[in-house]
Amino acid sequence: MSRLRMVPALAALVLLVSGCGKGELWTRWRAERALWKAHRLETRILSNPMDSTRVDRVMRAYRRVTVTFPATRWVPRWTTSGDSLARDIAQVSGKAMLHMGDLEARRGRLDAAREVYDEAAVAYGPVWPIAFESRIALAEALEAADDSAAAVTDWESAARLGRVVDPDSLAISERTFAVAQRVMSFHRDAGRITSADSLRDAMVGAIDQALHARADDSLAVQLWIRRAEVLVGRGRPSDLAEASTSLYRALGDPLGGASARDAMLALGETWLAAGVTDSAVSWARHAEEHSAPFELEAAVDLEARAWIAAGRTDSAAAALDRLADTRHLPVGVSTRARYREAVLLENAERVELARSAYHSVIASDPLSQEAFDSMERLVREHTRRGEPEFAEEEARRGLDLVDRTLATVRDPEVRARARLTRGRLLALIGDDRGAQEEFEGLWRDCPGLPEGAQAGFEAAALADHLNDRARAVSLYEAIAMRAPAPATRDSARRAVERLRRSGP
Amino acid sequence: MNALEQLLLGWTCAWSSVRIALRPSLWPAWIVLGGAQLALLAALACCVHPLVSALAAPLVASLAGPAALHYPTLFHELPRLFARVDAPIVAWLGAWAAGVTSLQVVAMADRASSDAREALRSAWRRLPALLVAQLPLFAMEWLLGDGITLWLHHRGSGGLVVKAVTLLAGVTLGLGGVFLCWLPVLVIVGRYRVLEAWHELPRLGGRGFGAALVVLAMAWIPQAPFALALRGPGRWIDMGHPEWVALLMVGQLVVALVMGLLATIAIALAWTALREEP
Repeated sequence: MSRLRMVPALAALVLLVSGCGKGELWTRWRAERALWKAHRLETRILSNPMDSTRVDRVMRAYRRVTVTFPATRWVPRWTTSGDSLARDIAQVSGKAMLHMGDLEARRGRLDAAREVYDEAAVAYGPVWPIAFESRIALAEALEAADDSAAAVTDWESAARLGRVVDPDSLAISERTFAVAQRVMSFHRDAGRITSADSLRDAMVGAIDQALHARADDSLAVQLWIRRAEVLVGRGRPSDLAEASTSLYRALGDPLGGASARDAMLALGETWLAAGVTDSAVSWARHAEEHSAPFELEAAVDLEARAWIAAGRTDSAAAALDRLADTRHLPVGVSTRARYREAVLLENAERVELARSAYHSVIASDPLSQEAFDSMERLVREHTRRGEPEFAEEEARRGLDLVDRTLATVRDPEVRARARLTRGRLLALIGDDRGAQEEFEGLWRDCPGLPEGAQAGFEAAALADHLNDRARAVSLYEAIAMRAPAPATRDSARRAVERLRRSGP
Repeated sequence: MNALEQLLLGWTCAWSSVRIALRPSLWPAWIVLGGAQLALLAALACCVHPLVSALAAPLVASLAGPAALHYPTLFHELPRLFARVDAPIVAWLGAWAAGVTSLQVVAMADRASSDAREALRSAWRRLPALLVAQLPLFAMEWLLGDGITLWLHHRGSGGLVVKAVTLLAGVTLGLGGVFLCWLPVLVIVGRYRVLEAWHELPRLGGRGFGAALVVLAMAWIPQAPFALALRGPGRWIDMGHPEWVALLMVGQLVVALVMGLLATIAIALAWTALREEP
């Protein structure tokens, strides 16, 4: 009986001890739950076209997160006490604010979006993922508003805020490197070599710092490889030499077994950038030996590029042929390799071999993009050689295959690809009216697909070619309004202006 | 007893168990078991709440990783996590509850006086012997559950091999359960020693295999929808209802308890019929 009396006493003791649990853990849970529910609401009710009432409802849900778990409370708590739970809560709150900015941008209120991102960048400044992401979002919003000059400043801030190693996952932060590469390309393209080099030096400095902290870590190997990649971008002989030194260090690291292949590939790229193609081929082959079938494509691609740079197209085609014949490759790799081999052979005037490779692509993977491209290239190749009968025969064969595909396949993307090819094949054999109908039909049916927009452009170009300028303008205007990608809409707007400038 | 007679015996016992289970005197041990399981489930599902977080959060983090303390990842891990933590409770309190019920049912069948408190105490005293006798069952459950999963993962198996091996392991475990389900009644009611119970099992297992198969299959059927629904907790999260995983687990627990009670009564009834057989 005394034992039975002990049970409540023990339970009380357990509760007493348990009651000392961390309140922040529960707060983080509530914050994550509120953010998750708001995001869920967004995906549930905003899958349809943007409706202002619905957007406001989602905005309110996100705002509730930022108000209930305010930056003014959790950010100082993280900075003063270093409490990682406080940082997590601030991060959740910051994510909610970024979502609010994204929503404003999606409904076209770019100024409001910029204000939200700016506020997030300032309020959550010490919480690096939020500060970093808000700068990126701000840059994207500025770019969307055609303010590229201001966007570069924010891209650069993001790149300089980025961490080379994510402190949470302790993995390389791919996004930081992607943003840095983007900014360096901006500067290089605009002729601001000093700015590009300054950022590159900052990246190398950040990597060196991370390497210093993680010298005995398997992550060090990845950092050496990244260091080399950043240096190769500048292309100076001294940088290339330093890059190869970094990579030899990565290869020599006893913890780098799993990354050896990456290091070999990076060494190959370094030698290719330096113009030493023999070494590039050699490292590509080493990487191939260390690659499983599912990762073979990158190594063979490097080898092929090195051979092409050395002017040895036959050897490049042979490498791709070897890859295409390899067993247990992931879906599409063999087709891509065979197609690239065919294009190389065609460029090298090895016509019969090229045709055979194109036919092989069409026979082995008839629904792939490469198969449809092969049909077109076969017809163009015969036309270029002045063989119109063979061109027509190939086009008829291609049209039969496309019609069979359209009769049996329901996948909208494959069907769109097939219809686009059908229009192009008709145009290639001189049936402009048929081609025009096919392109316009595809644009009308699938304006949201890239193939649909492409068909719209080709229909407009064909109308212009047939001197039906009004039709061409109307098609370009439709694309400028309905195409999903901003770049496509811009191209269509420019085409309309060009046609209008060139007169009736 | 031929196979058809065995199946009929199983069906009759399963049917009778529903009527017998309505007697409240049979419930206390199962309520204790269910209470302990529900408390454990609540502690795991609310492991970040300050009331339990000092004990539950480190336990969850050590078993399922620190990511399990985040919303909604916890609900993704909850069924597996609960299965691991619940196993000792089922082995201990579940065996005790089965023993208590078997004692009460056999006493009813023998028209002897049955004191619920005495049954609770008597089953408690015989519990160590029952746990030792059931060790092969626990080992088999581990080997065919976690053991097989670890082995498949280690050899890098995937696809059809995993499905075939998992199915085979499930069937073996089910047949093993059918064979070993007589242990509580043998050790607690029959007062067999461990070695004697193991020695008796092949004879009893052979004579009562059909009956046990019917009883356990009927007990498993109502649990199957819950098991299927909880096989992929991610689907409930994708549907926007992570908390439903915990609610479904509560439902599964209640159904499993009721089915456990019914199956124990039916097995005890079948034993009383089989022990008369020459």
